[in-house]
Amino acid sequence: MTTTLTLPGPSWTRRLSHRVARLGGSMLAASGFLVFLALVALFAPLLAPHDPNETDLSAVFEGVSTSHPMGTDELGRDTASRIIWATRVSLAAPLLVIVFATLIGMAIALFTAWRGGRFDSVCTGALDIMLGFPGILLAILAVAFFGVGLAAPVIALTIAYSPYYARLTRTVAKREIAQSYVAALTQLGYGGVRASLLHIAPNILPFAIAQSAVLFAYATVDLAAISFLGLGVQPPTADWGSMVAVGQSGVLQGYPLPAICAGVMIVLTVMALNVVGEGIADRATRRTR
Amino acid sequence: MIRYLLGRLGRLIAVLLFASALVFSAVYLAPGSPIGVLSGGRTLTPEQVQQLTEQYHLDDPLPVRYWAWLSGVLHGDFGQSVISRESVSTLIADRAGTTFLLVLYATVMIVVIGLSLGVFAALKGGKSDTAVVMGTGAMAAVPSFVAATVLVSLFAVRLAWFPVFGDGAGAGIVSQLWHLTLPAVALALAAMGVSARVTRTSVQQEQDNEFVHIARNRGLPSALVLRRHILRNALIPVTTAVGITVAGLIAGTVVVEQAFALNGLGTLLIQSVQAHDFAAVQAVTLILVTSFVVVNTLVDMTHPLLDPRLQRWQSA
Amino acid sequence: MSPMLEIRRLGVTLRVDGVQRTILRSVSLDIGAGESVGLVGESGSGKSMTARAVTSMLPKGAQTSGEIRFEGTQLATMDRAALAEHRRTAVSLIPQDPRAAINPVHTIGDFLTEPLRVVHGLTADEAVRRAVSSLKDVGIEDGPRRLEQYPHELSGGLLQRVMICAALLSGSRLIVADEPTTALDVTTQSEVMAILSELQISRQLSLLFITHDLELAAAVCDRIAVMYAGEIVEMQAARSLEDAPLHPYTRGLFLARPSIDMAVYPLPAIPGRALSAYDTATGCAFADRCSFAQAECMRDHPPLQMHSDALVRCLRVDAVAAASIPSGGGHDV
Repeated sequence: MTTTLTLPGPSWTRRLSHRVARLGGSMLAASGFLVFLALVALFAPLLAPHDPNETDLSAVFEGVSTSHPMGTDELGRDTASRIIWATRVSLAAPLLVIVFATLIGMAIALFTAWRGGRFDSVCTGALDIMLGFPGILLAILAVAFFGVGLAAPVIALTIAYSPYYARLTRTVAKREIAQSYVAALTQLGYGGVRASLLHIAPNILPFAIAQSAVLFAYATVDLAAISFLGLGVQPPTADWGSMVAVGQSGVLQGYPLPAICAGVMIVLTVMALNVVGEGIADRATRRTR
Repeated sequence: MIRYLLGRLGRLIAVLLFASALVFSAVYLAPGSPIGVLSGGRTLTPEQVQQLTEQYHLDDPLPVRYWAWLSGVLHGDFGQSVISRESVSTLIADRAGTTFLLVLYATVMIVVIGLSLGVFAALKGGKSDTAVVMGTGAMAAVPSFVAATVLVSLFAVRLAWFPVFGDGAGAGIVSQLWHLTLPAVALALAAMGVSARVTRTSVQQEQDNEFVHIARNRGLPSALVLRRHILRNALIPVTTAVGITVAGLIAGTVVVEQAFALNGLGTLLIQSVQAHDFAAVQAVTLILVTSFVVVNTLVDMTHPLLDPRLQRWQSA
Repeated sequence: MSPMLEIRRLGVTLRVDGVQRTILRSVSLDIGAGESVGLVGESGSGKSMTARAVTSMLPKGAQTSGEIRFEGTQLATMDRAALAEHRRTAVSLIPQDPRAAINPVHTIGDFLTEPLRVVHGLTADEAVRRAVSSLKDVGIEDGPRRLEQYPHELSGGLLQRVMICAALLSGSRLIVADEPTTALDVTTQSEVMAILSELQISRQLSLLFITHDLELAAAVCDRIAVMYAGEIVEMQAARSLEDAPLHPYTRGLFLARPSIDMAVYPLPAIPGRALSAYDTATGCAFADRCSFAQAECMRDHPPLQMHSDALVRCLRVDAVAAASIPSGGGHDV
């Protein structure tokens, strides 16, 4: 009769808290803030004290109070509710840009890296040229010809950011393809597409994601700027960028609160993303040292 | 060396051709017929339709149209604004000065303040360094329009030290600079943060080089060592980063001009977009993109000047 | 006549991963005027750290004990001006990697003439003239052309000659060469060593020659000190060291050299790996790799003692001296 002794490994909660404890203080705060924002976006309907579009012309430009934690704007709408609802748009749009830019960029990178040779050098040259076009100008151009709203800027920024991802992942892709496991796969009869999707892409993905934090920050600022210019989100939808724009009249009259609250949200989000991005980069260099 | 310069020039031209092709073809990518796009949905008289067709060679094949447009552009002819009937080049000439001055002003701020902060933090270390790191981290996260809002509300509305709107053109250079100060700060703030960080990292790294220790041991005074062996070597990554940020200013000027209602190329662009004045949109976009690319190229070309290892001379 | 350089019980600790680790235990060494002394050891023996201590180039956070005297004066007692003068004119370093020692953005001429112009106040022309003549001394004939070139345009061997030139120009009486030829190919190695050795002898300079190559040291130096785990384990005149190494480690090093005219199977390598000072426990640092070790070796840390004309750190030195160098298992090729 055999007795088997099973020692329990650390539970997943244990492992998670161990992981969390190893993060630095600032990384922790930054990631926590981003998680908090995501939750706010998800649960906006439950969290917002008022209807963000409900105007009340008798309560214009009020200061901070218990019923209006961030005061009201020039139409008497509750600023806090607008900020909360705006979280959805202000985060979702850059997220779309980053996700699609990553996918498109990786696809291009894998394709050219796999083909190699002159095709590869021509493509890389083309990518370099595309990088020469500033994203926000492309977005403005797109809006000019395709109309206002978020669709045109998001697509334009996706196109503008993809070459960056493509360049980045191409270097990694080339390295991976040179490894012996890829030669083994081709021996086994795997075509380029299958090999890429099933085997190479998962090895490249971490690098792309590491860069995403910083690019998410750029995308957030670019899109907020587009909305600020009135070319993105249209009233009455709330978005942090357009709230800053709309709040300008308040600023001139001495009631900067709505604009400043929206502005602060953007700054905090960008700071958190920058800290997370730097943290990931630090970790990566430490590991490769 | 010559080969390198020619290479960079070639790349510059390639990018410009690509950009101009993109800007040009936007008209045809947009939904609707080209006439519909160019007229912005306005109804036109048959004569106006005929004029537009001629002006844009809409009866000719695409490459011909592109070439016609491009040669016009190279001669300074950007076509006519559908709205104001003026030639677009006149509109641009009126406003280019303000934009140029604004970008220049912001660049001076970035170079002077950003670099000094970075060098100061790297050399001092300790608490000063931590303060600069945190400060620049915050600065780098502030988009220009948010900075504009804060600056206007504090310095223009509350304290009334600076005017809120206008660019003071026509009232002398001092008035212009005074009007452009808040916009320049808003434009430069994030870039100052980034440049300070890059400078700090660069100087820190160069400080640890062995040849720096050896130079000190050989008796060279520390001021000389700092200047010729630390800062001089730190210049290379710093100019790259500053170059990128300055090029970014050109795109950022669009936002800042709008925030401060300045009469520059940026506001012209936005106005034209909202008024569906495509000739103007194309022209301004092309000018801004060209400036962006030219600045990047110029910065790239300083690299071999700064780092002899890039000069690719034949070694003896 | 007092020696030019006196190192007494030098100890150095470094902060590694938050812990103070001993790199040098207690090193004592003298170098006379015009004498060349070799410091031989493997990586981790502490030889480079000794070189850095002598040239005042210890890394940040290093703590020292013991004393270093130069021409009779303790370095620790010098005031700032005297110390600066000492670093400038008395001691020069020929580093392992000359490319790291010269600023790549300035010319060779700039490197050589900068101290002459700035510190000694020579005019640019005078400085150039001196540099060109000094370059001739190290075998570089087309001085004016070389002065205009940048470091990346010169080979490693040429750059080392430039470093030697810089040492000569500074008028140093002591040259510390830290593995100057490790990065060079063998032909260039002998060229550079020949120049260094010739200049050292003709100008009566003192040389501290750091290397892991025992044969090279024997060819160039008057005396050799062998280092292991942060301390000197043997010091003898070069000739007699070759004939009769007294420390088991030195013997092991000689035996492990493949010879061109005798094939030995298997090549007698010293079992185990070389230790650093902070890896050692009580007793002799070499004990657990030593074929002569006894119980006392594991227990007591041997002091450096005189044995005929040599200094040896071994409790079993008499047994070692009596044992003949084995030649069994080999045959002439």
